[in-house]
Amino acid sequence: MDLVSSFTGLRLDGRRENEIRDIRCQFGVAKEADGSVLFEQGNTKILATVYGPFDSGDNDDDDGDLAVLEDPTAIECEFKLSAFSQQDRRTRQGEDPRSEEYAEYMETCYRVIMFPHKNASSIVRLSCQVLQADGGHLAAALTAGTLALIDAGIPVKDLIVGCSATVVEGKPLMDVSSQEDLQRLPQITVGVIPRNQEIIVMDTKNRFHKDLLAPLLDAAVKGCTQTFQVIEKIVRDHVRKAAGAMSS
Amino acid sequence: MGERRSAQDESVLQEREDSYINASEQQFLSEGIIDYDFRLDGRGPLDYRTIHISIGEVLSASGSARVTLGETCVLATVKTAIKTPSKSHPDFGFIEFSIDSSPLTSHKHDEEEDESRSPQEARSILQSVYQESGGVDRRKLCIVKGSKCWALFFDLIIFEKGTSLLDAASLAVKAALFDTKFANVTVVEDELDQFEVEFTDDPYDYWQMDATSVPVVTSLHKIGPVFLVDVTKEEQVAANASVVIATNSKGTLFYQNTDWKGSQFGFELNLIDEAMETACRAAAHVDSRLMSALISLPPPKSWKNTLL
Amino acid sequence: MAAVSGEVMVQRSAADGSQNDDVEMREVHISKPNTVRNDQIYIPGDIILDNTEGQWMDGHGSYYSVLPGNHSEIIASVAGLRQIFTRVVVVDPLKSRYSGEIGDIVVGRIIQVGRKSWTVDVGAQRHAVLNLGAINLPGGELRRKTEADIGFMRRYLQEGDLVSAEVQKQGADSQLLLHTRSLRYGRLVQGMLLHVQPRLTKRGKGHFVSYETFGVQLIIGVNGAVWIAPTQKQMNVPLGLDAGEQQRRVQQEDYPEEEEITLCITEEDAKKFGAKDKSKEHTTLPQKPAGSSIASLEVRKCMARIKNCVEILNREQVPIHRESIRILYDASRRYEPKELLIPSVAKEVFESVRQDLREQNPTA
Repeated sequence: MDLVSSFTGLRLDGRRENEIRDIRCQFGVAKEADGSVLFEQGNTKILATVYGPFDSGDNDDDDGDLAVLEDPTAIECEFKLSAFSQQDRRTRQGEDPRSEEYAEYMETCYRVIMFPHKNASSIVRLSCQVLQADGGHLAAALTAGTLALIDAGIPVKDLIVGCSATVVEGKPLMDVSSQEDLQRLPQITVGVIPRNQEIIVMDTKNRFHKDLLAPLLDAAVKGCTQTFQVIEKIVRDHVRKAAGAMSS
Repeated sequence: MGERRSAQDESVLQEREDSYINASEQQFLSEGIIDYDFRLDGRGPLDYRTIHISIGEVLSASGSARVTLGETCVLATVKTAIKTPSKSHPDFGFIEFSIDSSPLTSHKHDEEEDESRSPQEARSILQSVYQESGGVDRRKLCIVKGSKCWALFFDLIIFEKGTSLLDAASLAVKAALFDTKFANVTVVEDELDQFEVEFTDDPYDYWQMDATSVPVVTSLHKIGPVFLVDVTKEEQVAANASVVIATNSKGTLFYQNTDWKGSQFGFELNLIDEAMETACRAAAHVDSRLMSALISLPPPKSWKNTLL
Repeated sequence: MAAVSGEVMVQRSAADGSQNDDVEMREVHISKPNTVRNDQIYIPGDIILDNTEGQWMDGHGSYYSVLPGNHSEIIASVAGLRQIFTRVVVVDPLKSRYSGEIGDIVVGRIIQVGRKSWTVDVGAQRHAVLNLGAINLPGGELRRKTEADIGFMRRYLQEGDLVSAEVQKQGADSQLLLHTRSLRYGRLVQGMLLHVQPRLTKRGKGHFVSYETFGVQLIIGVNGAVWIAPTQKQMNVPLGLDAGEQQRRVQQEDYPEEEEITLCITEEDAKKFGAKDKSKEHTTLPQKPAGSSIASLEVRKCMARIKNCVEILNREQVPIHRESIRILYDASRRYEPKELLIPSVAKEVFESVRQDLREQNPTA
């Protein structure tokens, strides 16, 4: 199956090489959470929820987890693939070996943009659950998590977005869907602060020659820029709608 | 009236600001209900808040429904698969439930004070209602007796855990089942007398199960002598007993549980009758409203998961 | 036999996955022309102001960033509307926990009783503290302050009790210290509590609200906790918000001269904790006369209506204070209180006074 039609130059879902999928967001879907977002990028759907900052209960008298006490930007992340999220139902959910790795990438990224908590024992918990898995899960989780933090009103220095890229017959494709993921092509996902183009994390999948790294990175980072433009508008519109209800 | 925890029992209140009310608040709430049939938000004892259901949100599932009932929001998804039936029930299909409540419920580490509301208990009740007690007719899931059958995997996610979790979950299960598309299959017998199942190529060639007689769960909570439907968290705390039933449009009872929370008043026998009667009426009301709303929906598009 | 009521609304999601409809389901969301200026909206990372001259301070929702060449900026750290005060820049996020300022009136719940202080949950990042020294005690009790223990503390406030209080100061680690050194504050009984977004209950237009004609009183805590209760005149038992009112009431009924009391203590509590019978000094109150009720049905209907109106204001992001509640309340009169729970009714009622509400609440 040709991922890019030699006739039209379009991908299987009608996109061009340098196009990301459509993004949609709903904020505040889980009312009990301090922040939440139902995030969709193409057919990949992720629910991100945030709790905190709250008192983790560790105080000076506790023999608590010292790592938490000493880390002023304590954030715990979780990444889960729902059993029903893919074509074949996964019978043991949450045991995807990459889930823990992805969670660590998320923690690394958000630590960079978060401020130290006012209280040393405060903690933020962020969870991303994939409801529909159509590729680009880590990338979407990074973006969704940022949006959930924003929904919760937790101060951050800047935004983190994620994007994936693959390369087919020398052509880099940005924002990889699951159909494009099937063929064990080289793949990369980056977590980026788009405004200053800083790459915070990078994840690669399947082996590839080092010469491909530059074009893959380039495509992924450009994809992040596109993603940023979209979510920037989404967040501004969200503020406008919510705050504009009562302004004169 | 709910009993106040004695001050000696706990020196630290469990941190559930939004679901704890003290004796004075309980007294205020209870008096309105007992004396005037009037709840804090103006509802009567048998008034439900508007229930919202959204069907077909999850494209990777064969059927799905998200239900919002009060503060509770549950998503149910159905995945279908072909399996070999068990030897003890060669003409029955399978139904399996799983419930995921983390990380969408309270982050505060929950010591579940009431087992019947914990998700695992809910899971086994759903399993009992829909699978073991025949809430769903498993013969309809048979393809070739003794050889091939459908298996339904219900995965529930709790988006928000308020009260009446089982009620919301059962509505989601029923609506998701209503939405489930079974691809039409052809059975081919090979030279070894083995059966193989082939899926149709036509994405619009599917059948759906009639969900009319599928049961729903209804919970009632008692404050004084009054039974309430669709309780708020505060009302649940103030209640001294609860009744949970699973029933369907034919009046068949699939599950029942009465729990009088250890109050010294017990549960007078005549009240049990009244409770059951009220619960059945409430169930019938919700069930019929649900079915008439479902039937008036446009049909789903295709049985194929649009992802692949 | 009472009828069961309630509607079930079902919709099918679009097959292409677009779920804009869901937003309609969950919130009473009305699209309308935008009236917020673009230059007021900031998202994290946006530069708000150049601060090289050093004349600005970074308030909530913003931070200070130094760049090479002594160039510095104030940058937004949350998504919301910018507000500029004399020397401080603030970005107000749409949703956040209560943070607390000195002088805020708050309503909180006692979580823990200590030997000399109570821990109070006010919905902030950390629990607040109410010290024994920060409350008023009846004269006779002052002597016992040095012998304070948990039993003694519990005579005044127990776990689960609700109190109204004022923020006295912010201690280390942003912990709030509260006081109830005024007749306005104290234990709250016989009413109901709501939670709304703290950004809608900012300090300003009066936090102790009394609707005399309805017989209902409110305390609108700056921390987003709203207490609704019947007024004194409607209640047979003088328990309630305003201890000053209680004091007057108590004196009218020929109780002995009493030291300024702040906390309302019932006879039941006094008996429970073995308080000595100092009936000359204690606020022993009459038992509720048999057959009477805390609040009549009429008062309860008003309270339910107010509750549902406050919930609508909360959903619609309208600041919650005396006037906005009254406007919505009046508009809702043609419906039963419980009908305001129905999304279409709430929407209709809100739309009918949207303009009036907007005039009441110009943004900065």
